[in-house]
Amino acid sequence: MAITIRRATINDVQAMQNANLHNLPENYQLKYYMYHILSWPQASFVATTTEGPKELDEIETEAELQNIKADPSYISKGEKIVGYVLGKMEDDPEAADKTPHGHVTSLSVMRTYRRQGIAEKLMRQALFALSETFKAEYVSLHVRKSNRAALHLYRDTLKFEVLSIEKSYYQDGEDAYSMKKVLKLDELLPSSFSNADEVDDLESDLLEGLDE
Amino acid sequence: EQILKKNSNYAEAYALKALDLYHLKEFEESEAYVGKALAKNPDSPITNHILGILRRQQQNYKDASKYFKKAMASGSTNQAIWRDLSVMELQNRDYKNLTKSRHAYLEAALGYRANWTGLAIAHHLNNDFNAAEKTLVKIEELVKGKLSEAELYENSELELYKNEIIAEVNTQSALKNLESLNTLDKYSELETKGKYLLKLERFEEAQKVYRELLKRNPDDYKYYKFLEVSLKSLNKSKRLRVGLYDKLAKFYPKSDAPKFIPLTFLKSTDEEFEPRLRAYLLSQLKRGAPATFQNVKPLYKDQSKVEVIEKIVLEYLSTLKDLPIEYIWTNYFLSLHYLRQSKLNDALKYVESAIDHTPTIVELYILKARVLKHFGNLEKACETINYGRELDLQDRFINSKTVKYYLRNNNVDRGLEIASIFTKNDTSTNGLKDLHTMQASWFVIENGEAFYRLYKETKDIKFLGLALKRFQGIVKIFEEYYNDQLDFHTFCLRKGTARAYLQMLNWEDSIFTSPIYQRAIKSVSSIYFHISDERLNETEDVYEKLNKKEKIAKIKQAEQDKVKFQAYTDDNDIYGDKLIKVKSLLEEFNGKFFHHLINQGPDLIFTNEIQFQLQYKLKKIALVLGSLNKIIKADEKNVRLPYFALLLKFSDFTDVLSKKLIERGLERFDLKDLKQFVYGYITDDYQSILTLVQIHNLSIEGLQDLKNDILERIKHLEPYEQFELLTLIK
Repeated sequence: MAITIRRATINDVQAMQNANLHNLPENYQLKYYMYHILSWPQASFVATTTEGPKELDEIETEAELQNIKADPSYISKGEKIVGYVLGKMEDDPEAADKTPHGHVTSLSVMRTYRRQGIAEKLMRQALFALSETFKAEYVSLHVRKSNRAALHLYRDTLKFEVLSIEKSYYQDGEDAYSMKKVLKLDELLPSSFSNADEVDDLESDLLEGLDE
Repeated sequence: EQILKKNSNYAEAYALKALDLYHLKEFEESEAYVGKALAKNPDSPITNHILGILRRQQQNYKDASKYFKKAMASGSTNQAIWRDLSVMELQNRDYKNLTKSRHAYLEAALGYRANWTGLAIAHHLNNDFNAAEKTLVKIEELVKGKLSEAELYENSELELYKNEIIAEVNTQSALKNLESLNTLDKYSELETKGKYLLKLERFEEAQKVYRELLKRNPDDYKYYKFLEVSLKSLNKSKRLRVGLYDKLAKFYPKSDAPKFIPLTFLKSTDEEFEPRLRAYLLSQLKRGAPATFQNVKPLYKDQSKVEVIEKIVLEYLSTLKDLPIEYIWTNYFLSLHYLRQSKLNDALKYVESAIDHTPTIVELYILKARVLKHFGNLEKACETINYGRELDLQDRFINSKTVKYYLRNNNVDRGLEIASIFTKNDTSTNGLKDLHTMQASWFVIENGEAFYRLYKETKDIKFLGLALKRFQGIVKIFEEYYNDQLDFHTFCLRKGTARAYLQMLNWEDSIFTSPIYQRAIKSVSSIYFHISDERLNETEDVYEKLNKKEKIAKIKQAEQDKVKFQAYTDDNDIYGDKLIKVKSLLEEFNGKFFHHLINQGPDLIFTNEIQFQLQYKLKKIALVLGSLNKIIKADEKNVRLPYFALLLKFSDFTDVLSKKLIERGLERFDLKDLKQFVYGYITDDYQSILTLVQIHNLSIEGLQDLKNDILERIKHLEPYEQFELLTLIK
């Protein structure tokens, strides 16, 4: 699909903020993205286009026509951020539960890039990283009650459980499902969800038996 | 306050008073007390400390640094000032002095690992890798065996940081060190190991590392590339490579990379190409993935592949009478396919077929609007996308797209009204403040560009001020981005995330060269040059041509509209008048907008194109030629060069020195035959034609007949591009 999933770096934060502002009503200043990347550099991931479509998905301005990738979703030529997951560890000293656990602050995929499993892949990476690097024992998140696609992803695909409904969790008054998933590292390897018949044993010669 | 009451004569008390007044927003008074404090005793450590704090709060980090340094030099015993000083030095990129303050602060508090890390980073930033490593080793030894559970992550991060430093000097030792580690960040460990092994040409081990990485993440294209490098398969037969990817596709059936990559290296004439492409395309069209076209777009660089794509998809479409999902998304695909090739009628036809079939899918209206925009019909594009928006009022993505179209059509009010559906409007009449607070640069810049176009359309200077105000909003957002790093200079030391921190410093060092910032500066320069040429800043009364009644009405309207245009809570210049009504316009442009680019991107072509024009207006020929040279150095075939060269050649500088300089600066160009000279840089793209238009507008003898050629070349552009260029021709 010419989409790469990879760890987010500080170079991605502007484009992540831009994707968030385009897609979701819960927005944050850039510093909050920086805070995630600089506190838990391993916990956030992005989905990017991989090879240089010269013309943009966006409508071009004169400046864009002058070869400046003047659209904030681009991080380099042909590399555009189309989705992200912003992950963190619980670091509120007031938090009731002291067991180390993670939290998904925000996840979104641009509408025109949906229906190809990008959100699931982003989440699988984040869950794996929170467990492996930060020893998170579980991860929690909130979902808008009306967001059926997200509920399906978390509950059915990723096997989160609904803990409770939090009344008026969102600024506009909507309720949220509070969800949680217990993390077991040996069950989280992202490629194990590929439904593959064969597994790379890492030992055999990959080029063996192939015609020159 | 208490100290002040008791000892109102002390320098320290004055300094405190200054700080106090600053908080009360009595800025002038505050400065007066700064003066008093310094007059009383410029060498008091406490005074200097307080003044440092004051300057830091004013974001004047250079002066803050100065006062903190003075405080220590005057014998302050408050060791925390070293830390404050080091933060200022980092903010100012004064690495030379940083080592001293970091060292002093470590001496004062040896028990904190963060302070050791701080010193190591200071050495690192001064490229003293040896000292940096030694510092890290020392603290590692001190904490060995004493690490608590909570400190393991910090330790892991710092081990990897130390490894990075070792690698700066020697890859072999870095690899050896890495292999002795067992950190929490396996991705970094593996990626770094792969990199070292490739560098050391230990391919057999490297391929294993990349296979391990693929197991963790089979969706990162770069792992496939590095795997091929380590398998040395890139130069082998295509058949072998296809076989390799088929194997990988079996391991990772849900990943597209192993299916897609062969399509990039196979030729369209290879037997295998068409069936593989068909399988790739159809599986996605069946799923109804809107991005199917985006996924094959890299193949469009090869026209022969485009033809195969077209054949496959048209064939597929003809079989789809009774398959609704497939039918819709195949038509959608074809519309994008033709749009990519500027075949606008076909693009419109296919997206309309999809809409006729199922008129309730939002994406179809986004695409149709985009096609209409290419036709130059923004009015209809707005109507279309707004129809799509109304199909899904919960979705912010279609909302944002709709806003963008209204702004492009200069309907600022409607655009803002729609955007405000998703913003936090609290006490405001609309979401403008929220969009500024949330740093929605996409909106702010589109808004500014819309105001600028409205000015061109109406000549109402109000829009010029509003445009500048929005572009200044972009500058403000980026200044916030830059200032955001302040807290992290100490925060990251506590967390141990030194690697991410150093990346952040690099990123901040070029933040003002971001495309969107350049885009803002482009408009701002054009506005300031215009104001300067037309001397608009000197008109006393912008509405002088109106009669009294009309004038009163205008002023009243502007007063009423204030709430609508207000972008910040405390703003005494909502209309941006103060940005225009300045004596030295070009200095204003430089000092408020352009200087960031001069600082962070002095060698960019973009910077030097603006610099050329700016210095030309300021008649500083040496600087003009300096920027010309930088453009040539970066790109000797730059399409803008003939315009700049001719502008200089036919300029009306009369003084001998300027003439001499220009003559010498133009020596490199062969200007015997002007036409031949110009066309040496020109191709048939938009930029080339734009340059021709600019040269035409110079009305140079020997180049008067460019217009016909421009009109001929323009025909190959899309309607909206034609329109843009035609409006520029004088």
